[in-house]
Amino acid sequence: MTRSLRCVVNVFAIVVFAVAYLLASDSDFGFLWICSVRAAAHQGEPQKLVGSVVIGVYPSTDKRHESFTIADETGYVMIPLRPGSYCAEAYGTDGKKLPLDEKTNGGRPICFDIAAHKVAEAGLTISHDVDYKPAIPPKGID
Amino acid sequence: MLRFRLLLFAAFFSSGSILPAAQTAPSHPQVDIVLGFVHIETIAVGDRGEGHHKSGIVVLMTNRANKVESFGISNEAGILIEPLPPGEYCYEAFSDAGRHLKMNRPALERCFEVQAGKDVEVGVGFKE
Repeated sequence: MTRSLRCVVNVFAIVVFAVAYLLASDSDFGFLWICSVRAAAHQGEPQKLVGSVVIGVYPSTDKRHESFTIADETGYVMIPLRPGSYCAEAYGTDGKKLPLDEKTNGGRPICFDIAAHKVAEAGLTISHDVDYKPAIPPKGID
Repeated sequence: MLRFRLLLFAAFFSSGSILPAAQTAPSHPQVDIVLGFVHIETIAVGDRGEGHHKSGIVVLMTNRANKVESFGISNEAGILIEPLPPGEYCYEAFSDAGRHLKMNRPALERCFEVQAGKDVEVGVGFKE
């Protein structure tokens, strides 16, 4: 009886450790596919993609936990994020905040939800009067 | 007593009126940030120690002081450029499906420092 009880306890402990290990080692995240564009100066004109914009993403409830990524030279970037609600804003590579277009979302950061293993899409529209010149080499191998 | 109740009533409503309305994305003041840039290469290392760049690797960098996590995914060339605020960071890597990759260095050797306005190069090696 004691031996079988010990066996059951051992199996239970192994299962608990295995589950804990799997939970600790793997990670659920989703992806944000985001582009940065400059608003058109005049109505009817197309928006233009802006490359190498630093995008700050933070949980919608906690601005202190902001993380950053940089769009590629075409203006797009894929960001892995843990599931949750987030907001995004734009910076230059020099760290200066890029004002967002007042006509798009009132110039406020855009917000979106991330679900595990799903891709969300969003766009950051920078004010038309921003003349942004990034100072960073493009990604790639020389 | 009635005056006291009226005072409480007035205080309750006046405090409510000055509280900001709940917003999903409140307007933030124009606060600039200080960043350094991390140039990361994601490298799959074989049994004999040979390595090659691998694309689509999710790299998680965690700030040692405030535990803020930053994710990035390497491009088709196996390169990732990540802007990070100054501080000490440690990294780990995952497949794009979230599977934790077995790193080729112990945790203590997977940390680096980011300085303001500086570039740092980091090789993220994992076992194939």
